[in-house]
Amino acid sequence: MLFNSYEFLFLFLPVTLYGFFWLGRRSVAYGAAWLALASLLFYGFWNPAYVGLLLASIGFNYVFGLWISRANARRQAGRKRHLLIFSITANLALLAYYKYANFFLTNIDTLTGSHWTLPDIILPLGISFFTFTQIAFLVDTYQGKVKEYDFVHYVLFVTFFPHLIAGPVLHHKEMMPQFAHLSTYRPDWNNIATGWLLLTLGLCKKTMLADPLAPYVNLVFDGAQTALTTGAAVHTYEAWAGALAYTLQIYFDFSGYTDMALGTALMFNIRLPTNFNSPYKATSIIEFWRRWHITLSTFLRDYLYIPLGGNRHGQARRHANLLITMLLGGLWHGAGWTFVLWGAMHGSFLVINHLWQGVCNRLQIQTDFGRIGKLAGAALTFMAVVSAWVVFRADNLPQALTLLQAMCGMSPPANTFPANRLIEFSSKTGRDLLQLIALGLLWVWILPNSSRIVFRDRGPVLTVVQGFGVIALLCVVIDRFGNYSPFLYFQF
Amino acid sequence: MRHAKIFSLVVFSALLAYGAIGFLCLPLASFEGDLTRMGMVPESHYGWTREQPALEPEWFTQSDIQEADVLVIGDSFSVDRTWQTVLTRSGLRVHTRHWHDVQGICGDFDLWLRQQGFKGKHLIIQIVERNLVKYANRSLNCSVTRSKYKPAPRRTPPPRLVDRAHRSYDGKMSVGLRTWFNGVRQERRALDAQFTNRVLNDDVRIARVENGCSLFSHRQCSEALFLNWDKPEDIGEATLAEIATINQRVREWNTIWAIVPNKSTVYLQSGKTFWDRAEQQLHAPNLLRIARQAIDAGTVDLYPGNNTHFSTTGYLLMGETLKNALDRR
Repeated sequence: MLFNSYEFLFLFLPVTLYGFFWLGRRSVAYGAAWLALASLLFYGFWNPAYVGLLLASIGFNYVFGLWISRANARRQAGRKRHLLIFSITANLALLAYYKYANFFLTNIDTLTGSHWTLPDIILPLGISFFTFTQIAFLVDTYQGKVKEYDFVHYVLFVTFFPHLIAGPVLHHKEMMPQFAHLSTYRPDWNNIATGWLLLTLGLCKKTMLADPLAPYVNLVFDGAQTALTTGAAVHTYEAWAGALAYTLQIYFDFSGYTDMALGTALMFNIRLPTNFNSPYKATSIIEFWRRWHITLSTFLRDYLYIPLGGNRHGQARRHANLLITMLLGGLWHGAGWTFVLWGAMHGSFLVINHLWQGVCNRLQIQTDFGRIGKLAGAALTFMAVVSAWVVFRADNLPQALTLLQAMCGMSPPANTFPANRLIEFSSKTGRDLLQLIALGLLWVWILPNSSRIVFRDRGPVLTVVQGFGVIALLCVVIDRFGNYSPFLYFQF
Repeated sequence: MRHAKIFSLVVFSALLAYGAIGFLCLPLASFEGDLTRMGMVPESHYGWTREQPALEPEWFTQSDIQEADVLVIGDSFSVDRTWQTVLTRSGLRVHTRHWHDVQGICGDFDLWLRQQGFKGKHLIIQIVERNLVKYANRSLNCSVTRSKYKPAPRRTPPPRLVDRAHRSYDGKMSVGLRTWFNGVRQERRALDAQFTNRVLNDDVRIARVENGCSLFSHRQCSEALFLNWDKPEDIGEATLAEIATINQRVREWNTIWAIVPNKSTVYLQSGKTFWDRAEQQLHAPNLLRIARQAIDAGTVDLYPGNNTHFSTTGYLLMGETLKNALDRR
């Protein structure tokens, strides 16, 4: 089920919310069980067949979590370690089968000339998110950080519908206390009101910016693919328009989803961690990764970068660890060389950023260059991020290269007639695209982050203004629901 | 907290009210006909209800251009390949391309056609009346064919009957609301004996048709939907001369022009003579006369009330006419 669908907004959300508080008033266990069942229904709405897989994954990890915890209590270090290795391997094997098997076989076939094939495997929705969430649970259990093992709460921790499909990536210790708290099961009108504001904002980002940008992005990237076969050229302005459009599309799509997830969760008195903090305002790549998909960055740092050694073994090892982390982070997004290259690009950017900081520290150069310096840093960071998004979005490496060359004004001369232009800015559609890009850039650079949105309970006038604003915006966004439009991060 | 509660309850109430309206109106926002879609009027009022002939899926097969006996250059009346089933059923191999795939019958069309490997004898150039002047002009002004052909998707037989009771909730709320409103308004106006026609928007008009209920099967059968930009003026001699010039470009083949009359021409506008002249000068099948004869003979839904295109019955009649024209040459 999508947040941007009639069935979610008109039926699922009101019924689930009402049932949760109605049952929660009678018993916390009933409320939690109701929410867990509703979450499974939410997931099963997409493909009921995969609810079994989700439940099997939950059962497996819960049992192994219990065994690791018992081994921990009995101080059986060896057994504990073996259980952890086995359970993590099983989780990664599941992910590898569904997400990477065909990718690896295709590459083996290419390298060896063999013809290994697998049937088409449908990627279960949110598998990367629920697998990573549970790996974090197993590691936390191993480290003795997990205190509560209530099964219903555990099911809810993994399946809680706002985060199940596209995150944020959650930590057991952040969620379980919230599910156990009695006040969670009593309506908090301030939370519900703020939840409405966030949900509406997220819907606006998705339906009024991300979705309208999508056709232009497809036009440019498909055009670049056609250019590869026909010998036509993509113009510099077209490539930039496509790259900027995708940069904004992925932000508004994913951060819009996150706002909806945070808002919906808040209505149930559950606070999910912030996942975005105005990332395109970052003045360096290091800062960008503290602002973009924060929960995944934190996960990669805590469960990959630090176990690899982090920055504890010298500069060279630190840079190697960074590169490995980002490469795997790229691969997490999907089985394709474009994702690996995207990770490699960001890993290299981070290494360069750290080297620059090191040089400045060694030479005792002040790195704070004032407003102009920050502006230059932000511009450089933004350009780096945009160019990496081109690789991320491209279907293959030659397509990415075509667009990057065009962005640098290095397109080969066209051998086709000029009427083949992808976008004419003098046309209505071209002007529409420019308006969308301008609006999107103003939004990401000027407006405050959505995490600062809160219902202002300061008298009837402000209440009416907020109510009118939310209802009017909901009417506008609901009218854009007509077509099926899944979120970009559902595919990861 | 008090204001937050009021705010939340008001938003929930508004949402539920909107949801209730959506439950009633959203099914109206799914359309089967192009005219009901453009005019936003309910299918339940203007959707056809009389069963149409059944066609076998294999008759819709598209042959490769290299092995086709007949090449069809056509518009939306041809891309579904329904009228062509009359030809395929009789054993002819047919390849259909849209005008957009070739841009026009350009100066080098014969050369291009040979390069494509077409070895058949027959070329059918199909065009609807409202586009004839434009496409003929475009063809005359174009010297080089630039093909943008993509293999046509598989076509399936059109439905024999549409389930009008089926409720779909996939449309847009505002469209559902406007459709409901237009339906109610038109139902009221239809009660007026003086009603003749009304423009719904830039694209569509509703017009009363003489003996409408013997010509259409939809609920509001005394009226039907028509494209608002169908012109009442007849097509001039200049276009006939242009077609003759274009025919010179494809004289190697047995070329038949299938000029489909607008729905408005068939039902509302009498007195057009273009088809008679085209028949005399170019031997083009007189599809207007055939359509009017079918109507006079009591054919229901030749053009459905909700569509600019033919019904399956209409397409089969068109196919028979073109098949006869091929046989005569």
